[in-house]
Amino acid sequence: MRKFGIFTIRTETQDALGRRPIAGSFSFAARSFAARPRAALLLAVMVCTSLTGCSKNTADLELDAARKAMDKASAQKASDCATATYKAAETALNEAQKLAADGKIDEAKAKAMEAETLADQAALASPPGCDEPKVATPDEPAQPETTDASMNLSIESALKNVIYFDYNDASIREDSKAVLEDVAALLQKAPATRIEVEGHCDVRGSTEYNLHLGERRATSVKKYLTAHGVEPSHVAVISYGEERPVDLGMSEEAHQKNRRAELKRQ
Amino acid sequence: METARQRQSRANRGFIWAVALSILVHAGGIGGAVYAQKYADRGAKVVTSIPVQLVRLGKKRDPKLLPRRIAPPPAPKAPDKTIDLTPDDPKKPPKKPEPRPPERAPTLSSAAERLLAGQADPDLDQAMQNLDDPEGDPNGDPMGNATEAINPASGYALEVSRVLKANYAVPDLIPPSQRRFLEAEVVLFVERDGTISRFEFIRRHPNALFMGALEALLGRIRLPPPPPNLAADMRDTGIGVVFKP
Amino acid sequence: MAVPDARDMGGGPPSAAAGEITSVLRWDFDVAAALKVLNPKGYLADPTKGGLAAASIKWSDWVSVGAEGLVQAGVTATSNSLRADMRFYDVGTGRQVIQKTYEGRPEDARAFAHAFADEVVYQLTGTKGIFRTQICAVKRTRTGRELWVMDMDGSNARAITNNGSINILPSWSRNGREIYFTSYIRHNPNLYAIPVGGGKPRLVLGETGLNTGGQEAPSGDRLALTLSRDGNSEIYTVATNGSHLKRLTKEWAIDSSPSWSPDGRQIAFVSARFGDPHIFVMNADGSNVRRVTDRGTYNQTPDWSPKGDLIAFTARDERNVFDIFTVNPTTKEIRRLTQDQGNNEEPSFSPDGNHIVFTSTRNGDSHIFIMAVDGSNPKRIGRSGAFSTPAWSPYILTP
Repeated sequence: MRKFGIFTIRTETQDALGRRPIAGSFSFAARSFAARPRAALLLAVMVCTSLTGCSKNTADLELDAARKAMDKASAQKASDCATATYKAAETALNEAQKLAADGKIDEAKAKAMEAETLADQAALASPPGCDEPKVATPDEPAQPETTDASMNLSIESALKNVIYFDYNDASIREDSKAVLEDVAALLQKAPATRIEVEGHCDVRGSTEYNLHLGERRATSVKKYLTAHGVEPSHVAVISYGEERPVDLGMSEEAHQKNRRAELKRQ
Repeated sequence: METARQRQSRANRGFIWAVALSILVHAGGIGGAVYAQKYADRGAKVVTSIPVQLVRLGKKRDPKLLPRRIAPPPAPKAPDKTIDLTPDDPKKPPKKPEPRPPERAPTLSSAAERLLAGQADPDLDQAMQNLDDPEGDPNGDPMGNATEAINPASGYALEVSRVLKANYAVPDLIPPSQRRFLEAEVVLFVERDGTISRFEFIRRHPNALFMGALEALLGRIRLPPPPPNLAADMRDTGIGVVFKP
Repeated sequence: MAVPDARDMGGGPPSAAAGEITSVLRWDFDVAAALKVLNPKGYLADPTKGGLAAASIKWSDWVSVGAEGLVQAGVTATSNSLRADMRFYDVGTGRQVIQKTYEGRPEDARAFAHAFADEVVYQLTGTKGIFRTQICAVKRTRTGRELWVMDMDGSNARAITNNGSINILPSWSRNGREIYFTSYIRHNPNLYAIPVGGGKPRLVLGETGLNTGGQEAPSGDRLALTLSRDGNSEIYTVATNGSHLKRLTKEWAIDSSPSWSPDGRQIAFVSARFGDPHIFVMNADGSNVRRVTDRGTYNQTPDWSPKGDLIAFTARDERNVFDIFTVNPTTKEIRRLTQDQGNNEEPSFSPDGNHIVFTSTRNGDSHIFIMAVDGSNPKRIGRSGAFSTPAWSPYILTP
């Protein structure tokens, strides 16, 4: 800090030391001192208004999300195939909109979330060509004559499938949907089977965040299975984050191998 | 024998003296206070010099991106650059039984000597060359070091820094590794018409090329005329400027 | 600061203990960046001559090499005892500022030197020295992950868990006696606490799903942590005995990694509520949530400085490299501490707030480093092996 000239150039140290530039020399430090009480007042006003405005906005967000989910569901012709779920979603959305209009924000939010979930389920339950009957995979034995042993075998082989994910993403990719639908169909036929979905991540990112990302991956696999008729209580989830990589390499290929969900029989 | 008139006259004289003294003391007091006030004002004007820094030529850094450090990465396996107080002579034992004459300053390491002499540092130059994708300002200077223009100046100080920046360049002969150490601080005394009547360096840099370029710049450049309310201060107190590449 | 070789008072050749004391003192003063250690090659005084006392020191020798402080140590070592006499002088006045005598066993040499360095740092800066603090980190083993505790210079490293499972995310209790961590020993990732000396882990919380990142509040009566029990990752507080569970966040996206402000009134955390993970701050009751990082796209692992003015975090930059940054939670100013040196992650502040421990891949595997809070003077500590999530202890009470 030097003393000459008449310009005051504000620096952090100057403020921290509490050295006040005198009024009259044109310094914006001086001006900001004067402006502080007003800024505080403004902040207080803003906080006040946001307290009332905040919950309304979130309800709008939920409603938007629900509407989007509905659009997606109807685009996938869910209205044709998963009639019951789709209708339920529609009703929930209408109710949510009514509640929002009546100012019952919290209830509207809850209803909108319900609508979103139902719409998602409806969309999931209607893969392209849902009107055609399910085609069994070639190695799957004929359905009516399934013995326990062969059933077990096919479950074992189905559970060997690994579900892969995109970077920092927990949504089920298109290439995994058919596999999971097969698994869901098998599990429905063997109601005594309990499985655990393990979520994993690549080594990039923090340990803790990756644990939670892995949990989301496992949970979205579980959601997909339950949307396809599997009893929720038959599917457990666990996340190992980046702690159990299958490939210790640092290449993109290795990372892709590690971003996965595995299905384990309990 | 003293007459009443004489007594009266002496009393009057005493009174006049007292009044005169009182006026003097008061005037002195007021004058002193005014002067002290003015002096105190001056003292309270804590001032930093305005920085005049070259922004590197390059594409603008996206403000959404995380900042990068300006300093280049340390060269791999670089030799110890701390100032070694003894000449490197492995044969000599480390201890010096007889003290050296006190007027002789400790010798500097070769790295420090190179630095002071303005010579290139091959490791550092290489490391700086390896800095891919320079970021800065599309209108920046190829020799600049700053990625973002930082200019806390305002008003006339800002005008001064703009004019200086527009005319300021670092000599090409100075190698990149030396540039980041260049820094000089100077006070400019500015006349009413904007000419620099004189300048005083507060901090000089040992690099003669750099200092020569600055002196040449300050000798020929003309600043915008200061606003009337600042003219006296500009002439008497001056304005501080820090030059950095 | 000049630190000449510690000498053996018996007059014999320098013992191992004397050498250790010298090197520890020099390392410590180098880390305490304010006290630059002069290159010993430049010392004029003969380290084998003269006594430790002020009267026998030739001050001109130290003045002319530019030393302002001088540390002299004398060691008396036998096979089962160690006595170290250490003194700190102000060269300018020729005055002895600190004199301490330590007695113990030969293996105490490092501890003695650290204790004396702490004294000197306190004398010169008014801040307690950090040289007797410790660092806990996770080491990758063949079967899983185990917790290791080491001195802050990397010495005395030892495993405190050895159960073959995955033991991760250590954090110190405020009194420095226990370490909270997440473990899969009972399959579900529960939160446990274990004494620093090792022993049987105590279950703190075993909610279904993840129980991660337990951080004790400055008051020491409760923890902030992340749970996924309600179907999504949210931040909760809970008493240290596992009671009084309270949910603080309610968002569809991941909220995780809480870190208390030193006054206990605020909590920094990571949230992906706007898509990318960013650093947020909220009041300790979950109110008044505000985002503090508005640069970058992938910011994680906040650690609030014990001084309160900075939050250190890991961020991935546009070159897909992870580096350590700090952000001022009030001004939101972001500063970069590491750059172009491999991936640098998981910062944790020293109890004086002047240093940061982190992991770096600059030498290949993920190793533990410490650096000054401005990013200068990085030093690798500890041994080989892959380490992650280092946590710097609070000041540890020593008898």
